[in-house]
Amino acid sequence: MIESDHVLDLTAAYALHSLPPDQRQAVETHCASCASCAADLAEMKGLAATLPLACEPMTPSAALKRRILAEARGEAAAGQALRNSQRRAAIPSSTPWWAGLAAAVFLAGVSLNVSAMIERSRMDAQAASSATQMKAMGDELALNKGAIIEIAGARKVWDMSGGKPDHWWHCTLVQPFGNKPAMLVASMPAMPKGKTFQVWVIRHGAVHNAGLVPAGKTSMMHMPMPVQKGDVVAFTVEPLGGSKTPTMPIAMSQSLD
Amino acid sequence: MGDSIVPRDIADDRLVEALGRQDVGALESLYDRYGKVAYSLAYRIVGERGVAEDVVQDAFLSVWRQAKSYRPDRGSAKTWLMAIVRNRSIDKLRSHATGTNSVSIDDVPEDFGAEPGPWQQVWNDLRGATVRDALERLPTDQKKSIELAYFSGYSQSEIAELMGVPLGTVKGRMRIGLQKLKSMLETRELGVSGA
Repeated sequence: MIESDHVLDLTAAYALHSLPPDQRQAVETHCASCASCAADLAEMKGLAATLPLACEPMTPSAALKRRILAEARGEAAAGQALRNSQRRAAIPSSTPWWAGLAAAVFLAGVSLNVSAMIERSRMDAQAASSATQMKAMGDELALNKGAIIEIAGARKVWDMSGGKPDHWWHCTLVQPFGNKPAMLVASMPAMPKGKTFQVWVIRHGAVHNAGLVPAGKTSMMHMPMPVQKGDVVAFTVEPLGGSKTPTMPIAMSQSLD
Repeated sequence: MGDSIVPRDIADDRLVEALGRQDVGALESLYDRYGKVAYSLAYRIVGERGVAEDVVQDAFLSVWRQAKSYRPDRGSAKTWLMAIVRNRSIDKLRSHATGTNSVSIDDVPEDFGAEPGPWQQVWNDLRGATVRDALERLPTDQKKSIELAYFSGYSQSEIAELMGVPLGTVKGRMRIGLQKLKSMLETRELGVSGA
């Protein structure tokens, strides 16, 4: 297309998202310097924008609104805590409280043999559909959750999930009785080479490093601290080995109710 | 941050500003205004309730996360949201086909007009009935060309092949169809803002 050509024969298709990228670009380039075509394009876009109203009215489930708002609340809380943490990180500080707790936990030798419980997912992700993957994940996590509850005895269990069907994540967080460290069973999307998921617990606006999620589609870890209602559990993608404070935006988070 | 109490008649632009400050109350207001239309659009495209809800959830959270980059001069929050819903629904329909998975704030259609306030839902319903009626009154070929493009995600070349007509014919049907739609909506005093 010659840039000086008018594009009136393409503006409707542009507005209806029916042009290939090169022609979309050509329309945009032309309209940037042609007022008449730009006006026509704007009108076509305005008309196309009425089309959603042409759909038969459908009412979503009430749960949809709750899910959206719950996720937003978790992100808002986590984002605020992250900003606070990053501000504090600029100021030299003493060792955080959880580091001592984590060391104590490991030195004492926690009675739960977490490493023995690490289980890799057996499902064939290539062959299974997204729905099948999710069901298989859920089944496997149910097994793991049962095992944890049987061994540890749980005071509270939270199920957390999110993402998209083709890279869904699902975690079960278990808080045993007796103020023991929480345990996390996680099914996470594959990470790029050199990256890992790191878990953070955000409590009263403070961000605490809760460890790295072991590699594998389904894995289990225990966290260096107990968790409680009101905490936000957040995940970031960090370099292998993890970071002292979150260096990347929160990939997912959930408030513990 | 948190859940504020948002005045019912606050303009959409102000709502998105509040989203940029991570105000969950603003997100709730936005959902109350457009959740039903967004879901109806997603369901029309994907045809499954669960998938449509996933799309709507994804779209609202995208707006929530990208609100800081919102520019009112590029179009209304509603049209931005609907563009995300439409494109993600088409992505679902194509099942992992290539294509954009998000809508840039720079790619927002011009606003069809936002009438915020407590009558929003009533206004949406009335407009919906009018637009549905107008679309139904279009000649079949024009209506089908528009629907295949917008609701099914076909390119104009694919539509030409599907309908067995030259590409130029499809271009003409789309353009004339939209122009007739405009004429019918104007007749019903349902103006369309464009330029």
